Amino acid sequence: MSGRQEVGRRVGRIQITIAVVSLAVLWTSPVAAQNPSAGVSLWQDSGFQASASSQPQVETQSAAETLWYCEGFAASSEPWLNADVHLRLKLDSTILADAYYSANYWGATYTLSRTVAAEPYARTISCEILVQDMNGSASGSQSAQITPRTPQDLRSVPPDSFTYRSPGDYLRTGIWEVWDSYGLPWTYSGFPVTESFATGHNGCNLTFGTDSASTNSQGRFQDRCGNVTGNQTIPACALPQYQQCQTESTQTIVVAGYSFSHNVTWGCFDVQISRQ
Amino acid sequence: MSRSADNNRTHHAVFAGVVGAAVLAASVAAQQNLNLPAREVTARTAAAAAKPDPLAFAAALASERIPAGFVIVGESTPSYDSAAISQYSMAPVSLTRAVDFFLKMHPGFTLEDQSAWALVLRSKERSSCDAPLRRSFRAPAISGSGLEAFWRLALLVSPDTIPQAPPGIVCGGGECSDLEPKTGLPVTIPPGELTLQDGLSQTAGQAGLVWLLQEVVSPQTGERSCRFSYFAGDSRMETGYVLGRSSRPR
Repeated sequence: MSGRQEVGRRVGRIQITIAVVSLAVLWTSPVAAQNPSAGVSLWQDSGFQASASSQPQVETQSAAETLWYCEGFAASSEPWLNADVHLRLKLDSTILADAYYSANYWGATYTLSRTVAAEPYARTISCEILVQDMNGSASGSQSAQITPRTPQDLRSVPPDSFTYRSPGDYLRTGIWEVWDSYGLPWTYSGFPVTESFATGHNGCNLTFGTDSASTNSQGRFQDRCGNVTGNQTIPACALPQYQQCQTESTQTIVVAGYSFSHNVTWGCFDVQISRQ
Repeated sequence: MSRSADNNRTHHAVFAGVVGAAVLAASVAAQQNLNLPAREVTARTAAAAAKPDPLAFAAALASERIPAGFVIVGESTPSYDSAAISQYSMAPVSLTRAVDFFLKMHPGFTLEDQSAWALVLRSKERSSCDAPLRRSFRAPAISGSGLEAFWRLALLVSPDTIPQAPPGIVCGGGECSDLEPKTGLPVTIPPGELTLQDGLSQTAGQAGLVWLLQEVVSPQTGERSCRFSYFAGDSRMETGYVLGRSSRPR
């Protein structure tokens, strides 16, 4: 990163004003340009009196949507010159908005704004400015990270169903819905869902076959627990002495890298799931 | 071949020992010769050998029905995407090369050569799994599914902690279909003296499974326990069986 860009990061709305004043002083007293202000510093570096700055400002609209402002200030290097200015608001490498305008010696500001929705992955929004005139160029940028929407809660979507045929032959079907760190349904499809089990007391001598799935377009996925396919009973449940058996387990579901644990109690006649 | 010799010999030499053991076992016991070193695996499985998580390789071998056993110290979370295997179309590589690659990428592991039934890759670090794995016992005839054989072997080694009820499988998610392959193919182990490792590998070899002994440490008590699970096809099967415990710090 160039020194000029670092300057751009530090220049805010108030500092821009200071830079303008400094430039006015410069008109009569070049020595004043030695003042360690942002605008002066930039000017010394490039031999160019334009000041370039940008800084995204945030205004929250809703939990998962944010209005971003990108404001740029520029001034030409000479009183008789106009500088060409290119200001743009970028999301990662995509340009969300941009504008071209002119700036004279006394400077001009321009503001861009766009609403950006959070996504399930982190993104970088940046405001960039490029100022050019016949004496040279200056640039500046400021960036910020957009907090990703991440899974934070699993909620069961009714109705759950429970199919029972005989002791140890049942299937509980549930639908999980993912809620995110913004307190909204996390409606993203194709994200991996895996699970694992830690077994506690294992009175029914159950071995857990784990599976993987993906979220659907509603951010939901199905969770089927049991043994009903092909009328395969839990063997212990076929024996009278074990029909009251119970197996305690902790089911950990991992959605897009975020884990959620539940206590699951398995018996010959039912399976109970409770949030941990 | 002793464990200390591993450092002085190439992995190929170790594998040659496996070949010899396999041939010897086939001729003496007249049992199936799996000829594992001659097998080929997909490039995807070879790539799994390079992943930091050794269980990725275990899962990959299971997906190709290559019998194996793993002894692992410490927590591990498989990062293996079994669904992608069928989409992997690169040229296969020899199992020997894949194992060699695994050992290079995981210098803390060694290839055991005692078993003619399955590859056994184990952590060189001592663990609470060592004692039960080497325990010798007189076993009755064992027959049934792979899961049943595993359970009977576990009962023989650790009768106080293993459930007496016959074992069953439940699915914890997904479609709950194809439960039967998760138990493995039928297994027959003749009565006689054997170690747990031999029994597990015989079971894995006949049932087409990959067994796993993993030492985990309780964050509450610091107790180390040796837990048994296995891979069947594209699934990991959690038995919850604890075959050994130790309060000795690592």
